[in-house]
Amino acid sequence: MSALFDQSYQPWTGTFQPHPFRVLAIATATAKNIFRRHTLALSLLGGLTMLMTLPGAFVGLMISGIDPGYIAASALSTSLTWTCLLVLPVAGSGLVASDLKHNALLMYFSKSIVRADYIVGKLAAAAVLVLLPAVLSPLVSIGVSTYALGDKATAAYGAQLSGAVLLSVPIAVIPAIALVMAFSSCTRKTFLAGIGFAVVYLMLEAIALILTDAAKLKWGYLLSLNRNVLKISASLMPEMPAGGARMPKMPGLDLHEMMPFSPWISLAILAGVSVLSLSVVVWRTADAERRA
Amino acid sequence: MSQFAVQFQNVTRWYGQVVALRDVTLNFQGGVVGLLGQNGAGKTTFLRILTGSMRPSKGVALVFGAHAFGNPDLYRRIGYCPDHDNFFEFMTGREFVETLLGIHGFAGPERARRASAALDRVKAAEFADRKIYGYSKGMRQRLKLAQALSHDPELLILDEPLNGADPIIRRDVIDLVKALGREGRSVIISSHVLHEVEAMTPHLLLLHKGRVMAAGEVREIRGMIDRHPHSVRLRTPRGRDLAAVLARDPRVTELHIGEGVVTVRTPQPDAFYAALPQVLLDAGLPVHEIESPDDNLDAVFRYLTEG
Repeated sequence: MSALFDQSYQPWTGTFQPHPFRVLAIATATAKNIFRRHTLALSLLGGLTMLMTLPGAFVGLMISGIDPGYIAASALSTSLTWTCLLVLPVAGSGLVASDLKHNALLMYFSKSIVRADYIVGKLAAAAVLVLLPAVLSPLVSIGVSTYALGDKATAAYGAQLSGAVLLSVPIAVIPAIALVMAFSSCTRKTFLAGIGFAVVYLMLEAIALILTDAAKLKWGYLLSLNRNVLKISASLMPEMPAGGARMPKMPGLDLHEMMPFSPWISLAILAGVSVLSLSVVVWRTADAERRA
Repeated sequence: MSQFAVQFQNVTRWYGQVVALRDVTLNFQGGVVGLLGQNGAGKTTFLRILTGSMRPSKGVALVFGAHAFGNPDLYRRIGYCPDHDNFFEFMTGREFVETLLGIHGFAGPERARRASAALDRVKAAEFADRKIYGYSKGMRQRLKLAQALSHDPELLILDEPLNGADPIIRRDVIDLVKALGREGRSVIISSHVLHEVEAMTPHLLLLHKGRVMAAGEVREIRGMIDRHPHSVRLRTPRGRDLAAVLARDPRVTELHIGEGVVTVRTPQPDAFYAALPQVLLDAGLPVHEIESPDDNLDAVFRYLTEG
């Protein structure tokens, strides 16, 4: 006689890793997948972004005495522009769209995660791919321009500027990724999400310029991602030692004069864009899961 | 703790004006059960509610005594093998299974050990280190099963696991499901083909237009089914050769040849399915896919609804 059921199954009784570990698993898998799919494009565009920014650093070398804060602000702005126009559409457009295309949402949400884990994991994956090209050029620019000035006090100032840039770049990158994720969650076609994001980004920057330059409406700058980030960045940056002006005080480019608003307003705008964009992602993924 | 693996109490689910599941009440204690119904019967909605990805519009859906919707801790006890292909194409099969184990909360050597064990169990180890985009349909099917099994769930939900599978995969999946049942796990397999389910379990749940039409042993409905001839569709690049071989089979009463497809009708489906692998081997003919359109199921539901 033999048993009909061997009943050998024993459920797992070990411990499971906490939610941050699961977020990391999502982020790692997503970043790997995007990088493998777009290795050439990301390498070329990331490199191009850095190349576009570096001329500013050489200006710093050539014009001895220029405030490295100005160089940092200029490099940050250029780096953000090219990151948003070149790198982010490639790195971020498929974040949710490719899961929609391959019906992968069910695969995720049948595992022991909540929707927030999924969204944070995706956001972190794009951040990993975008942060390097966005942050490296401003840091190199600061390094070169402080080296050009060549004294101890300026070196300490350069370190503080670098800290401010390191804080500012994530503040810029998170809303931008959230926005591209929102586009990505609205289509199964990744290229549409990338193009949509780039167009909206460019339009906002252009409208901000038109409103401020042509219509002389100072609040117009609040529509620009770059300007809001620069405003926050400027408030984080220290004053240049030995009588140097608070960054960036150059003829025609004084952010505090151009944007006479509190940096908290800029921070609130960027936070609002992030929350609104991520709400779209939540809604779209829930809807897609229901319809899958 | 609930003695039932699955409890549905008056579960109803609608999408706008369309009712996908109507007032379903059932208790499922364990073992292997086949969820049978035609396309649009509500099988997928039933499974989505079970996996917690959908909330019932009305009623209560419990899995192991806990609400299924929005309960991530419960999902560790459930393994879900979806009907669709849901992969990260640029990963290897092993990375894919390890990633999903990571999402469940497994780490380090335990994660790697579980991934290897699951891949071995579904016979996917030999291609597990290749990129998924190069996988055939059969390989993908095995990988889906591996990810569903990898975290050792108590309840396995397999959505149309034999849909479009070749004969070798069919045999392996059937053996696997039987083995899982013997181990004492609960398995729910959905299908629209009675013979597929029958090969894995005698316990059936029939869904029709969102209602549970019948539940019980397969032999009880066999009598109804066998009054109607069965269609079997075979996809092959050598349609004419296959048709010539099948035309000599006394169990085949009708035969149609299409573009890469041969469709036969047989009043003796059991005998036909049992003999088919040997017939194909003897003739040396490749068959990439076997499907049962199973229009005979329609007759069963008609019989049941007409009483």
